[in-house]
Amino acid sequence: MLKLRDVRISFPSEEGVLVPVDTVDLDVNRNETFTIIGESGCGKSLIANSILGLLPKDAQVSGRIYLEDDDLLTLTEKALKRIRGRRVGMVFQNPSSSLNPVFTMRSQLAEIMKYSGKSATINKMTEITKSVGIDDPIRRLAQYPHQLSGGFKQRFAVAFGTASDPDMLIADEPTTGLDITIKIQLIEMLAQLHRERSILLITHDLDVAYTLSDRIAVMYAGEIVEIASASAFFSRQFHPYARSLMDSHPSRDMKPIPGTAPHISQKVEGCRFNDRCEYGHACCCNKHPELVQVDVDRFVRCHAYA
Amino acid sequence: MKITINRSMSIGLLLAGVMVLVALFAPWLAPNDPYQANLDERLVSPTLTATSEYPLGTDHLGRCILSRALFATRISLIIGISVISLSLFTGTVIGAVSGYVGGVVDEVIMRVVDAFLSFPGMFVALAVAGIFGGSIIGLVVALALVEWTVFARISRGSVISVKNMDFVLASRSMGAGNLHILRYHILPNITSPLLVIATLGMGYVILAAASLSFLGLGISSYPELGMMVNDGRYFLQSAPHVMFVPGMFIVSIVLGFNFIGDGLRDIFDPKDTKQRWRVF
Amino acid sequence: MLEVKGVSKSYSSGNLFRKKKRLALKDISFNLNDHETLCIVGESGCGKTTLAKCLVGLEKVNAGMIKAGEHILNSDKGTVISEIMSRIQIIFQNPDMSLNPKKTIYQVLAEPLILQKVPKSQFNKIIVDSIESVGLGERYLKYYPHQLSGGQNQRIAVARAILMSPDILIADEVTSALDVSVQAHIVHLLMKLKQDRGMTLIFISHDLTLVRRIADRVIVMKDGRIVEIGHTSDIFQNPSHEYTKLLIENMNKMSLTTENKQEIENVVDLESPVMTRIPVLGK
Repeated sequence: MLKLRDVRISFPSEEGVLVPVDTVDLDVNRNETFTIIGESGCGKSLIANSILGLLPKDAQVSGRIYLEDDDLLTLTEKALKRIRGRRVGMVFQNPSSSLNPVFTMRSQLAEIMKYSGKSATINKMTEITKSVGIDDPIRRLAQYPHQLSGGFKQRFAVAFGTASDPDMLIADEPTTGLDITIKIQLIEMLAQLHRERSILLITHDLDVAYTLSDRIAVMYAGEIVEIASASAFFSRQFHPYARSLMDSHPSRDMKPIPGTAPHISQKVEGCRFNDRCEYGHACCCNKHPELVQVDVDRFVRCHAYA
Repeated sequence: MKITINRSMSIGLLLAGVMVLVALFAPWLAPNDPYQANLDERLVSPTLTATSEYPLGTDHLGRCILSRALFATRISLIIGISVISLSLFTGTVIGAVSGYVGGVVDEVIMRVVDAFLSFPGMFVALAVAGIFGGSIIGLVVALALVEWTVFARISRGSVISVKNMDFVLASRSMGAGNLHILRYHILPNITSPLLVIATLGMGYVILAAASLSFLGLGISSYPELGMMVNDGRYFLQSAPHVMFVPGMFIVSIVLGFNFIGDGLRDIFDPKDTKQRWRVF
Repeated sequence: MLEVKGVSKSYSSGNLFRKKKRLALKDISFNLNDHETLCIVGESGCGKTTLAKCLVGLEKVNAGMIKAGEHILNSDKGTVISEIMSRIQIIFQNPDMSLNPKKTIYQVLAEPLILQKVPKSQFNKIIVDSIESVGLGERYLKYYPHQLSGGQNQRIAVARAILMSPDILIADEVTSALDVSVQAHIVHLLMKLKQDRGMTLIFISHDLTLVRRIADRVIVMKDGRIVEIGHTSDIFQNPSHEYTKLLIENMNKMSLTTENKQEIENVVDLESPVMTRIPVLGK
């Protein structure tokens, strides 16, 4: 469905060229939920935005991003516009800023449907609104964003993302800032959706990733360090960073990872995790590890498995 | 904070810097006595050679236009700086108190500001200048009465947005008093917008002072740019330089300060590229 | 140590002519014991932050009172600004907003010393000690908050609160804006400081997995009321109120459960060719 090959995102800056995302390869299969987990600043949101060409103008993206057979990086802005919303929907992190405060939900939804070439009948709109778990669609559609609670806003954001029935949904931190009860409802709703379409989920929340994913990629300092199927990943992590990340969760040992991730402007010769890794070895400091396959459906970027 | 100077900032600094230097060294730069009339040499055209007696010509009384413009620039800048400092000080204090205290005090102060704003600024200035006559102090007071409201509004708004920030609450929970909070936390956070408004205001005030003088309500005992423009308007066809030269001086000063203000605004803009990494 | 009796708090909004009232806290009563970790859980809008603000005296209560021994700290007559009040310190949720953006870290940490009228000559030593006690180096003192990460700023906020030598530290959602690995750092730091200094900790959070781990006692709040209060094990094993049951049920639905942990340990013990290679690298 979606294929990223050797994707690298760079920005020019006063401190030289910054590369927040480097050599990312991943595949999102049809009807699967693929999750990228990582901590803030690891570049995961940049990947989400690069797919639909939503990065700032000075960003340079190299590599290949295929949506089925189209190479999205070579498409014109006009062609991309046809893909956004129609074939790939997007749900952003903060619903309070991704919804327009001066229009009702109904006119915003109608706008999106019209734009993607669907007729915006009230029946169709209530159906979509119901599909995101909103029980009284007629009343809610007539409301403005400020009249809705955070949970409803985020549901509408998902409804907008799926309004034109895209095959693929990119959800960038959709649960951040929501209360647990609402979070659960949203997750259950996303779980419903995913039977019909592929979802690329970007999150820092291990619980959300655990509940929703089919496959998982872990990012650290701009690189993917491990890709595995979710069930295999949550029972055992191969990469030392992935393991430390899991161990820092309150339901585990809650063991902090010593040190901090390298800053974006810092050039690291060897493994980017080597100064925080408890298994660090001489060769980790000077040789950059490649992402290697160690098992069926398990890739790891660590010298220990090379 | 590392300040990178942008283009409009450098143009502004150059223009305004030249005008300030000119004003400071006016007695040494002026080729003639600005008050000395020479009725034999009235409305002489500019001759831009090193040896000429009147490089930018003379006016209808045979006075050296360059010398008069140099001294007038002095007056304009003095007026501009005093009006801005006076209104910056009173406006900021009143606005900050209004925003910080809130409640009834805020309501009353803001209604007073509204009352001031409901008159067109120029009419207030005209009225006050008319009462005080042609003194510098009268002109400064007249313009400051209009200008302080701008600072009061801006500082009130900034104070309101800062006063409930967590760092202010943290300071209060550490037992800090109001004076400490205003000085230590609020003031440093409202200076940037005020500084921008102050530099932009400089241009406006100098223009307004010139306008009042043009209308005959400015100062009469010193050469003044607006008054010089007014003097020249009878000779616009026969001797356009009498009007043009002081006009250009006004334009340079006003543009200079406006460019600095624009540049400052860009520098203080939170959407600075360097901070973008915090967003991702 | 602290006694909260029948506290209610309402906010009024609107203008001079039309006032609206919203009740944020209704009849809150509990005791805070010495050296305990008391967790307050609840969803957004349940009043937990308002309660925290009342406890540190940032908000005046409308009814009831907060007492420390014989001293009334906060009642409808107003809050008391005193020695005792400054011994209750608060750390806020968003580290980027709780530090003044125009002050360097040195200046941030100097503020509590200025307020306590510590002689200037001692500033340097105290500040260096304080930043090291939260696990950051002296070199960070010259930076501005926007140059540090959220986790680092939160440590600075902790250091600043500790410089007031508080008896009670209130942590209001201090880790919810942070990543898990950073959350672990901050929680460990708070627990260590609490241990070393014999502080009492009020930890406000919506994350039940975390609360279960660190709390001695738990208060569950909903719509401005306390619905349940009790020891951690009682609350999690025998929740009596429906709302508590719902929260715990939700937690179990979501969280990486403890059964999983067992599984991991088993797997790690296996002598798989891959797993044995990692420890070898360590030597």
